[in-house]
Amino acid sequence: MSARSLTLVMALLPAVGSPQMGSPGGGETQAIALHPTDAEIIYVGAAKGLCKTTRGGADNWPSTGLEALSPRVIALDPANPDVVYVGTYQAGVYKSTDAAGSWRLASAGLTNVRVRGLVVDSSKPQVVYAATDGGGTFKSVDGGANWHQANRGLLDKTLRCLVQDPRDPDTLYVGSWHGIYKSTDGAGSWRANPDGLFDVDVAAIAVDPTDSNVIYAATYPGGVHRSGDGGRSWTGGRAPLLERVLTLVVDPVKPEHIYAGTTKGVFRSVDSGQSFEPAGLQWSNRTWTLVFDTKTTPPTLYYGGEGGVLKTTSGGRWWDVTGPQRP
Amino acid sequence: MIQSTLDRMATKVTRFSAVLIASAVLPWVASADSNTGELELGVPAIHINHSRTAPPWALMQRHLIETMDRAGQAFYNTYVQPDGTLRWKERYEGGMNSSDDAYEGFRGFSLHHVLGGSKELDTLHRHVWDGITHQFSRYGQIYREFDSNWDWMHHGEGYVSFYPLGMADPYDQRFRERSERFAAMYIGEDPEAPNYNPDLKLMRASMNGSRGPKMEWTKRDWIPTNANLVYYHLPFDDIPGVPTATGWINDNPADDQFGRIVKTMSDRMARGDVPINLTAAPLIANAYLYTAEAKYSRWVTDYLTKWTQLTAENAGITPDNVGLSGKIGEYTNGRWWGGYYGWKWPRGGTDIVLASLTAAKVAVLLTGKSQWLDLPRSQMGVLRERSEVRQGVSMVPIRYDDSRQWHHFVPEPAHPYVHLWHTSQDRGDWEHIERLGRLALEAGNLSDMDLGWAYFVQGRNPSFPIQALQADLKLVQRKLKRILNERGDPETWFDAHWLSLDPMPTDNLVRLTIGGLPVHKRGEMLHSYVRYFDLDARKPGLPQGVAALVTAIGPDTVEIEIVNTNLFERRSMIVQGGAYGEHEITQVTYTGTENSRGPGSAPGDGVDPSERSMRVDGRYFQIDLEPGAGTSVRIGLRRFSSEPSYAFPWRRDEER
Repeated sequence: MSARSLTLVMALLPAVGSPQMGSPGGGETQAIALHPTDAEIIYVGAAKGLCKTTRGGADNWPSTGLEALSPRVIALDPANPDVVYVGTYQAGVYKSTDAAGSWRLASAGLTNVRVRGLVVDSSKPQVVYAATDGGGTFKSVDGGANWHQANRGLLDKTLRCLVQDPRDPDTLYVGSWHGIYKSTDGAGSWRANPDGLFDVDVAAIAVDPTDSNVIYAATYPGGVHRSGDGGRSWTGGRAPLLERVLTLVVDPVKPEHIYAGTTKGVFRSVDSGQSFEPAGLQWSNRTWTLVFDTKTTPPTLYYGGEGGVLKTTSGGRWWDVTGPQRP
Repeated sequence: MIQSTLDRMATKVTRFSAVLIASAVLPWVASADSNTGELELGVPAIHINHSRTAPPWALMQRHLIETMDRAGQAFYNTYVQPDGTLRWKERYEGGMNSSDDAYEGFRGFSLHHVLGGSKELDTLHRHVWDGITHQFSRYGQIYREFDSNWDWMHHGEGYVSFYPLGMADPYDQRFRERSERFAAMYIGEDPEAPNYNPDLKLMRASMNGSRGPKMEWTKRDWIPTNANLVYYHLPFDDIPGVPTATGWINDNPADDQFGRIVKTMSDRMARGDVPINLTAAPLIANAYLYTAEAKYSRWVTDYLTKWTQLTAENAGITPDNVGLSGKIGEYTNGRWWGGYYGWKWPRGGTDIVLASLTAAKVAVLLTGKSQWLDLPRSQMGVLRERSEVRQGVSMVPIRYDDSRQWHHFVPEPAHPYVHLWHTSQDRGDWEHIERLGRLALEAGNLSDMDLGWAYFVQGRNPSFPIQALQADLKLVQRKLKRILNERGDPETWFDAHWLSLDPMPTDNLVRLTIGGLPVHKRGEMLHSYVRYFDLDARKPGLPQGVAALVTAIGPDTVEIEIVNTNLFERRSMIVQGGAYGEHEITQVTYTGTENSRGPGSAPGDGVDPSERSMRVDGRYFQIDLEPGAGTSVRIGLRRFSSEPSYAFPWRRDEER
């Protein structure tokens, strides 16, 4: 054997550390964002960074960067899905304009860098909102180049989530440690409803995509609450979900079907949140996010959590993996 | 002085003089003045005064050692809290999946100190070892400082970081006590952990630990491991209502496939012994190296003998499951396959080969007899006899079941042969290395570092050291960049987070400096041709500024280049035969000693003096290196002829 030949030994060294198969890697998946037109392109936030698959996960979720930053929320510009915003655990917002090919910090003015919610305005893509853990909400009107605080009326700045009304982009909801707040003027002002969900930990909010008046909010303790009047009044279910809810999503085709991701797997309600039943993955210690892909028929529900990225088209009766197939 | 030292070679200890050391093995080796701390070693010494310009490998090696010192510190500072616990989840419901990856993330710390890294890393390692133990006790996986119930594939991975603690400081009573207590859990001395049946000389369960054998498994035990097992084949093809491994993640109450998988596995795999338990041998040997108590070595040989008998009973193939009565296939309808970490699942027979190899190397260490290597050698033969050369690559089947017979062909790995040959120095073992190396080269697919190193110490791969050191430096740089940039959320990290970022690549330093085998292959303890001690600093490892390169190994020799890269300070070091003094050094032949040129003359570069020889006939000898001096030494060995021990070549002034 020649010395020259043996250089191959070095060149073909395996990478140190074995990635977990089928998982975006290194830890729990916290965020999922779907490409608006291509069902095979999915962005996820995981411990190994911002991962992007172009093959529905079959490429084992290569990382595009932002390692060590724990991407927590992801938002795509609906008008130009090559523009991707990522909110991180404690390193602010990063932006890519080339479909995650490269990243730059986009946090000027973001005085709190613990990002927990991120929304790109569906009608004005240069407008971006961020909810932070301790700093309240921030708004950018120049695509993330500059941010300013937008907390008028917001008493609690420890925010857990941020959602936008899909039919009225100026209407926003944030969940905080002390209740739910609503803005109807693009975060110009916020107001809570002292008679509604107030002084309670709101971890997740979902707006019915077919009826903007119907809002769901997950509290702990207290389970999932429903409002049929845009958040003015709320009712709890007759059989509250006792598990701690981390994420909520409404089935876009059967809006009476609500899915709750909890610290003990996924639960489903078929009666608009009145009661919940297990919908699989009860082994999962943490379900960080649930996202519906409406491009498929039936819609595909994606799970991000301790088990990586999983998916179901059967309402949780059967879950499948998104990683590469076994040899 | 040197000559008089030569005359007082007082420390020859053969394995036949065990009676001398049975009661107090550690302080026996040499004497020291505990009042003044001055050494009175009584070992032969050579004095090297010939200047040698430090070669690139030496400078790079020192750079790597010192870089790793700092990288380890940075890693520790980033991930460890002041109380020694890891920055991680508040709660961790990890089922049986326990602490192994956490411990393993620090496996290089004490080992690096043993090789020549800073003492601080060993100190930090002891602190974090305590912290992890406390943390995972709080999570519920550790009980009485040992994993409650887990398999020896994972126990082995976790405890690779435990054994070097004995090498780094055999006088730390806390770790010595732990070592004896942990071993007691496996040799039938701990009533709370009856993992071992001394009558049958078999373990009672495939999952075992400080709470004893685990006879039944539940779904909870397999969370969150189940999420990854989707990507393996099912453990059995006849699990009722479970057609695919995706069942692992499906637990809908209407169709709880996860539950059915675990129930079937529990019925067939939980009770009785499996070959992966052979990986416990280093834990027992670890206790022996502190104490020299014969009960430990006896356990290792008894257990290995039992598996050798079972293998013979099964027509030469090690069965992968034995019931509580000692019957092969007791819970698998008489089948010799189907056990946990067995021929079918999860990864096939490679694990059986490696477990038996790990135990066999330990048995050779403790007994000096090479016959123990026959078991792993025979199982490598089982695979090899069924091999096929496909596109120039030798492929072996690593799985077996009744329907597919031998299947799942993978490239025949060279590293088990390298480990076998390193211990046996048997020509027949080497020929398999040669065979696989030739095939791999012809196929243009060489990726086995052990293979590359084996060729180097045969004089056929001279670029290996530089390439290996460059690769390690690059790896440290990459890891360090990631570590220093860490701003992630510890709540979301998997338990392998630290392991994946471990910036302490000791494998090549083990190979290059002491002619050893890396310890990353499933629960091994360190085996090497030599080991060093810093005589001035009275610490293990190469002295600061000194680099060493093992250039050749043989049945009774090892050749080493040693250079003091420090141009200002003299260094004194001890060279020990074997990682544990198990190789008696017969003599040393060396270069680098010039005759005195009189007062005021400096050592010159001009004349490389001829070789000299010195009898040693003991466990070690001393080298005094003048600033910038270097030597080539050829050491004669009687391998595996002395009692192995963690003991240092000097008595400690204070024993903790």
